[in-house]
Amino acid sequence: MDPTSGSRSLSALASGAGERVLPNQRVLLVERARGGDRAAFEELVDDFVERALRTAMAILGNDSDARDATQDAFLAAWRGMRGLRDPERFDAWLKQILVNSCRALGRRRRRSAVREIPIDELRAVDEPADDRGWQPERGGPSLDDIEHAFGRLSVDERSVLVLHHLERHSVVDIAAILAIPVGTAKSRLFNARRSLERALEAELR
Amino acid sequence: MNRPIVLNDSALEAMLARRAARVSPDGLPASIAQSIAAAPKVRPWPFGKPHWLGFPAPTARTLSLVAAVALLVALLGTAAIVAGLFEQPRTPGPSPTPASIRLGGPTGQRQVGLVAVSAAEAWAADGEGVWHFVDGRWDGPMAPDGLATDELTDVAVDLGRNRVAIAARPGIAVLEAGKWTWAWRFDTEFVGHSVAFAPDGSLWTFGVRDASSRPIVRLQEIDGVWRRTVVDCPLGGAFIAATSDGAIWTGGFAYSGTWGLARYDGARCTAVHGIAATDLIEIVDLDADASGGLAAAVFEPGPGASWRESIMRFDGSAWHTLNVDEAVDSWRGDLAVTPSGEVYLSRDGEILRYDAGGGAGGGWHTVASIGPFIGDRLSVAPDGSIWYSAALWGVWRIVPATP
Repeated sequence: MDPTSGSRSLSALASGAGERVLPNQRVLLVERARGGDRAAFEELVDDFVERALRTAMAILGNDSDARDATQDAFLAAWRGMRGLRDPERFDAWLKQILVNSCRALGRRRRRSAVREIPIDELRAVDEPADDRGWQPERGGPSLDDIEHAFGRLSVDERSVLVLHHLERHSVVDIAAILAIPVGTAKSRLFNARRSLERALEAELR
Repeated sequence: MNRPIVLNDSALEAMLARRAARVSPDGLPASIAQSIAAAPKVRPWPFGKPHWLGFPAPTARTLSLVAAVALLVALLGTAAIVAGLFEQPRTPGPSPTPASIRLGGPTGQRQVGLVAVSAAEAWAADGEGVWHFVDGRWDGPMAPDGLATDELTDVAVDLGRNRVAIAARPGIAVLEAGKWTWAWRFDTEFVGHSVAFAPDGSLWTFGVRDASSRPIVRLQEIDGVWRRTVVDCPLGGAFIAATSDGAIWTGGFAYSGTWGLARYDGARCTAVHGIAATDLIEIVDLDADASGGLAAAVFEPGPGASWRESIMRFDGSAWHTLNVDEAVDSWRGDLAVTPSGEVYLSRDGEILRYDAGGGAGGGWHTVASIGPFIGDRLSVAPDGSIWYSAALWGVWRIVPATP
């Protein structure tokens, strides 16, 4: 799929991105960063880092991996800035790089059998930071059940669910971000949801 | 018995929000700035980097590594050839069933649709456009102006009126006498997923209104202008099929908005109940046939906490579950029904037929095996000839083996 074909939805994506920089300013920053201006790129990092980190955290599930993936993504973005043809697509382009970083990290993690789990992270499981007032149905799965099941999914499956259910991207936007046909994005989302339900059934068994 | 889990969106979203909020960017921007400052300098392209290269220019270290690997591969390859380790290359690709004929045609990565007209004629579509096989050769790809690669989502043919319709991301277009007309240009982002011609020549697709309503849309050419009529349906929104009795069927799955199957009889569109033991079903394919029947590929709750995939057939008066076994356990292909009601499905290059008489309740039998392939499409012409297409390989006319 030509990733530029979704320009309308991608512009909408870009306009909804960071909170501190206005869209026009952001385009100028991207232009300057493409020209090699490191200060401009660091402003973009300030603007996008929190959201990127939260996305990576939702996909990977632990603080150190999320920070590594985010850092890798920004470094890859800096090195590849000249390859970005449309400055308005920076947000979607960065998200594509971020998802790839999460996948690469997931692959590396699969190869290492042991990883350190910071004590703060263990504590955080018991301290919901934001449940949006959600209450479980009587006898239904808890958020912890759902999260454990979510942890059983592949990074690809987690990514597509995060893009849709956390980042609120439409299937068309997801297709553009992942550079896949719309039908493929739809079926990946469908299969990921199905996998999660199956994992949840296994979790509750 | 465990009840199958149907996860609700708000629970999933609350979990993800909680998970994402467990991290703070403190110190990260500084760390990123440091890594950028320490990143090795990129070797500039002597005449400017070609714009089509979507990856960063290689560093000197990368170039050395690539050169070393290339040298090693060349040395090993030469040694292997000298030692006679390589066999003569075999004929590329799989060996088709002898009677089946590979006809070429669209070889795109994504096979959008296939409509068999007769043993000598068919329409096919891939990401590049629509292809027509007639007089022993292919003509294509054909696409309306303004259609980009990979925007096609479905193709339908009105055999009586010699019209071809496509559903695509920008809208619904019709090809008639070599000329394309946009019957409907979408004014919002919308993915046309499926399109079908009814026996009266009207063209059907669907729209998106809200989570609880899936309108189906009739497009009719009146005095050279395509006019739209919207019919609200309670369900559906992913697949559409028109049976020869004039009924329009729409089915959907979780991400098309609503689950289940609905039928429009010309007056009202209503949910179809009683196909399976529960109404909690997802339609993943719909195919009408010339005898007035309909076949649907369905996900439904199975024993215990499992889900199973079934083929359901409506013969014009009642629904029948075609015996479920491992043949349909991993649904990845396409479904087609002959005018006499035989149901075929394809799965990764294998074509199976449901034989009602094969033991208790019948069963699925492989009638042709030409794979392994992906992206299967299957279609049966009114004369009963069976056509098949696969991603990257093109189109075959299949002669099923006799059981």
